Amino acid sequence: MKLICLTLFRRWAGIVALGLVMTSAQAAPGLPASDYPVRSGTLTAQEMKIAKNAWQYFVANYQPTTGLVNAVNKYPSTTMWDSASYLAALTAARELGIIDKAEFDRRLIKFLATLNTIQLFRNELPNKVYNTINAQKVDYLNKPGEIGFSALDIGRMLLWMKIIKERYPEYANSIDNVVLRWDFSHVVDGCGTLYGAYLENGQPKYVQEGRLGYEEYASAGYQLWGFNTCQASRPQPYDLAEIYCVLVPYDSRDSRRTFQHNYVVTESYLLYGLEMGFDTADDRSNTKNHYSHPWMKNFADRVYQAQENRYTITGMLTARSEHQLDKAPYFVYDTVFSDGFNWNTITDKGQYVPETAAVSLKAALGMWVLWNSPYTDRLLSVIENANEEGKGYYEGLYENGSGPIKEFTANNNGIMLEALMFKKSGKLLRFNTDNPKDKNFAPSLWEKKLVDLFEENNTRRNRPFLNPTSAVKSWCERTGTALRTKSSCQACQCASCKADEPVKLPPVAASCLKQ
Amino acid sequence: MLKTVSRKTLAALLGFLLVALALLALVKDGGAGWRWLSKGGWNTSARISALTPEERQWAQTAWRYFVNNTQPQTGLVNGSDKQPRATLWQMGDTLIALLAARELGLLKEEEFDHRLTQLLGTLNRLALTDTRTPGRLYATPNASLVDFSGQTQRNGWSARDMARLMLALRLVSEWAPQYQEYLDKIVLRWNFCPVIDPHGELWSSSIENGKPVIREELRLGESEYAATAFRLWGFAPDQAFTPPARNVIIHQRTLEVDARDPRTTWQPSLISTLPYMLPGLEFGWQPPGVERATRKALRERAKQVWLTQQTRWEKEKVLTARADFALGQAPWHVDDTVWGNGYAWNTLGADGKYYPRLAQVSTKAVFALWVLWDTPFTDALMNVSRRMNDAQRGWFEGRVEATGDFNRTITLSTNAMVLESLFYKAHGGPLFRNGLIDNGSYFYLQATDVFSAPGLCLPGERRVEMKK
Repeated sequence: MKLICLTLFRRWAGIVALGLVMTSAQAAPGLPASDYPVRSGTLTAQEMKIAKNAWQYFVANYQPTTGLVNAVNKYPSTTMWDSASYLAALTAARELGIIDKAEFDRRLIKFLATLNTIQLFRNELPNKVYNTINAQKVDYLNKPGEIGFSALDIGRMLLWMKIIKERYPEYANSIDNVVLRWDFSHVVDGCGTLYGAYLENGQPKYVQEGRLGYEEYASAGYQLWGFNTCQASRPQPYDLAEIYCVLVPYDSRDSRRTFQHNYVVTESYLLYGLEMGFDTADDRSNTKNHYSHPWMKNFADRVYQAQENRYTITGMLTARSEHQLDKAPYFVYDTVFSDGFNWNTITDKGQYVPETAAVSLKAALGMWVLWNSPYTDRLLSVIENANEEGKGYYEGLYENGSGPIKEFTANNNGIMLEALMFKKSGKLLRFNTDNPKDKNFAPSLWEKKLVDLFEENNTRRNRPFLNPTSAVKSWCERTGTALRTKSSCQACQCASCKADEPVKLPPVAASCLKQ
Repeated sequence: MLKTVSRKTLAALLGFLLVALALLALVKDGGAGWRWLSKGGWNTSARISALTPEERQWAQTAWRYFVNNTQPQTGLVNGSDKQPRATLWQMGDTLIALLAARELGLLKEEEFDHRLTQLLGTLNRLALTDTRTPGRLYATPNASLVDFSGQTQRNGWSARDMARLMLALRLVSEWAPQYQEYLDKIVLRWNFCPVIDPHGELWSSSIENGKPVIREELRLGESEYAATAFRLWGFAPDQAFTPPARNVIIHQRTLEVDARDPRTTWQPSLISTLPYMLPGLEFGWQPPGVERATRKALRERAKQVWLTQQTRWEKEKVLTARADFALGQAPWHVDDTVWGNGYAWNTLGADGKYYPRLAQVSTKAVFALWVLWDTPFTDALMNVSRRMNDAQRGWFEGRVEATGDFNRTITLSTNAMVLESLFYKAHGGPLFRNGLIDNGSYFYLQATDVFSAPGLCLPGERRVEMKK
């Protein structure tokens, strides 16, 4: 009896806490954005033209020696994130018929060969940056040397390698070999928190990486390969900011103490929508307008809605993402919210540079495909011809009207291409090979290694423990492989994090929307 | 027959007894019961009752600061213990503290008259800046204009500080009307042309690189409070009453903050306790001559500020009473806020840097919250603050959140706030009865004299725009 009272009280307290927000911010029935359908169907001639223009970037910036593509126009350097964007572009180019299978194969074989032979940071994971001409580890100035790894960049690469592996199973072997090389000891801990690395006085330091949005997106990549990312996949800790009548969630870890900006941008939610279809990593179905990751979809709707509302209220076309610049400070976080301020535009040092705010083309096209609305129609008409022959699309259009950002990047053009591919064929992650119910099922190299009890690297490299399916078990019996029965890491049973804990959605909108 | 008479007598007797008891209850403790009834004690959230002996002791300790720090030549009181400088805000605090001390019986009428007279004389002779406005900072021994290092400087003016003094002058006029003429003359000397513009926005000025810079200094909370004070004197500070506001969410509560961007206006946007509670103490959030919507907003925002701090205590178990405070070392002055420049619970030094380790439970915020909101939260605040004083010197600034240490700095404003809060409690409600200057006052007659307009942009005066 006492127990029941307690739980009742807790529920009651929750309702009261919710009511506190409601009193001044009455809950609107829902966000208009939640009712906008995604765009789907074959591409129109106009859309095909956009795709072909975007692909121009990857023609112009391809490095035949390594198969890598420059992250920024003519600058021979790239990261795992930008390389994943290249994989997205390559896949889209093939699916949309811009290149044929031969071109696709030629490029992908070279690329995977490079990825399989590059030197890793401390023999763990890919360095943050590589030279695209000789595939050497470099720093941000493209000088040889190692500087650390980014858990988020690697997360995006893992996600794209999974997408390729599933779409084109003939590459599964090469891809599994890439991931088998990697040492996950420091990048993800037992409670599923992601860590990046940097060098301090020559010694590697591992620090928690990722903030709400990006953190969940990157952790999906790890999850697809079997890792537990419980802590990173939860929305907590977050707070809400009221932005043009929408309550927008942001990471509440204090950027003044952690030196990590908690930026809210379109890109992180956008990529999750395009690639994962707002589904969880273990959702193998592919149904349109059904989202098995409801809070991610809901948070994405809020980020979208705040931007549409800004246009409605102030007349400013808005599609925000982090982007490059064609002049100093060269890179900004152009956010919906960051470090305490709505519509903050800051450099990586936190300097406020509002004059560099821009309509990001990747964000605009991504919003166009995920939210079919009159507002995104307008976004498309403003960006569709913002390209240069043979170079691809501009990074953005300055909000203050001072024209385009005359810079071209792999990430921008790659995301534009994947948005168009989404229109044609829906959610980009399409499970194919390892469905145990499939009659063609065979465990992949990755799985075979992971279930092998005598594979030393499983423990040494902190590989995840896969729950063996019956098909894997039978494969083990047939081949005489001793099956791992329990996880090798002790911390994997994390007491402080429950992965299946339901997430209650916070109230959506402030009262001013209803007027 | 006899039976009925005795029964009637008994009924009458009982009735009489009841009435007598009720009367006794009403007049007991200097009429505390009557005050409770007439001030609406049954529906107020505030503490209104006569002071307990302990509270009288608190008031005496606070008054001790003023006794220690009064400058014999001018009657001005040092802004910080033994620091011979004061702003207009602090001069306003001095007047309110003096009034409170008289009403709480801490000094005799004779001493009150003596102290007030000296202050009136000084304030009426106060050096003005080049624009004929009162300056930002004065030396208390000789009432000359100085900067923070004590050098003579004509350092602009602060509409916020002017407002506090103007409000205090009106309060003294109400409680000691015999001095009103002299009080009026203090404000009549000032030139309001650069301070309030035709839209009713209040402007401040400071010296930067040797040049005066005029700017809108007031932000949500402070702006309405300053406007309220200007309104008492008949000004129409309309724009200052409605600063642009937006909402932020702290602990699942919305809190209104100023919408102007501190990064482009170079003016910090801060929410802290005092500007929201002072209108409560002084007008019960019903300042005279102010629109209903503004009154409603004042009360609503004060409630938000109080509840946000209470919620932090409930959820994070951190006792919270935020106000700006002084410090015995760099950065000397700290804006300790509920929300500031984008962040909840921001603690900003005078140098604009973030000093989370300095956050404290501020004595003046505790007293204001404690007297206005009678709740377990304010009880808890007072329990941790009641001994934060030195009986010989006054109340300390506060207790440091991070360590539990006292911040042993002693300032005028904190001690004045203790007195003002206790004055409110003993008086049993808002300090002002009305507050608006009336049409028959010396001030009003001078301002509206059509034949010899003072040319100071006073209310009622035909406004002549100054030529550059």
